[in-house]
Amino acid sequence: MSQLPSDEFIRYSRQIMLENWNESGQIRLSSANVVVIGCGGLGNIAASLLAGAGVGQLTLIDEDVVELSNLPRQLAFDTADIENAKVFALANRLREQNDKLSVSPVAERFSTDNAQKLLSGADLVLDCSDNFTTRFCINHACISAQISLISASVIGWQGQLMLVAPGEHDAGCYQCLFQPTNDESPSCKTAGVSGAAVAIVGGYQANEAIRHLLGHVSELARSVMLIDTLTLNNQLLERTKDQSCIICSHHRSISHA
Amino acid sequence: MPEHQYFVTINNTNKVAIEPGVSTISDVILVLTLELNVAVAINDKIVGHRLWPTTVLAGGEQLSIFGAIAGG
Repeated sequence: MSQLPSDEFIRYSRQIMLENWNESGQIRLSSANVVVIGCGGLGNIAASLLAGAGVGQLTLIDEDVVELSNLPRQLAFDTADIENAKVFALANRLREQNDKLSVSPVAERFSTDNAQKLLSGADLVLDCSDNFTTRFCINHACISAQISLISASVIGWQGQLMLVAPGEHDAGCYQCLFQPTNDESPSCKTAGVSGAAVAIVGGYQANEAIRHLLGHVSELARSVMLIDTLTLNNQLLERTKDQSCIICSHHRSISHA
Repeated sequence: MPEHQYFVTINNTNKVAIEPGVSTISDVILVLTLELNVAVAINDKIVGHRLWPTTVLAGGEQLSIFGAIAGG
């Protein structure tokens, strides 16, 4: 006897039949609360896939408005959305996609000032942002709150993906891997980006999010994945904690907290 | 190439000459004139920034050097 209402069982039947998913996994997804920071290319793809998969609650955070140059890769938007806030346009699209979804759009820039409030109750955070200041801020906030973080980034034809899980203390955090600098980072605006590459990296990010919410053990919790959609060469590099990291060196595993 | 020279391979493509038992990751970064906002892995294992000056190369290692990217 199914625990899900019949319409939901039919809706999600193709994924429920997967051995590592099952109805219990679907119920777990429906009670999950995922925060998506950045509603550009990666946020569009990842949020749409999570909404489609039946994640119960999404919080969307971004202060930007839709621009014409976004449309080739930010597939939830169309020309009528130009100059509208991305979070509201995306929230509307996701509600149309799945009427069971609870979605909270927040038209603010994620910062140390609002981090604690915005991450309250979150099971998982997806970093889909477009600048280093926000990325280091998200990492710090997730370490402080002991919330799992899936960080993805993309530029040109290349992407990077990693999972920072509180239970994987020895693998360190985003700031163990990269040092904050004052340098202006290349952006999609200045260096260009392939829309298909964005979809691939965003797809990987959503896949990792679903696997994490289903309770799968992931190699990405101990490594960083370099994705090259031009050469089709992906690389997994084993991460290690920086024992002097000012962000994570004082935090132990969530299970020991 | 002279036989006495030793190299590390960078990102599966370029080779950089090193002095085995003396050259460190920091030396390689200096030779390549790279920004500091990069990560380095030796044979697919990341080496933290703090260990670059003291991680001595023997020659023959595969170094992966990549910069952080922020686009979303």
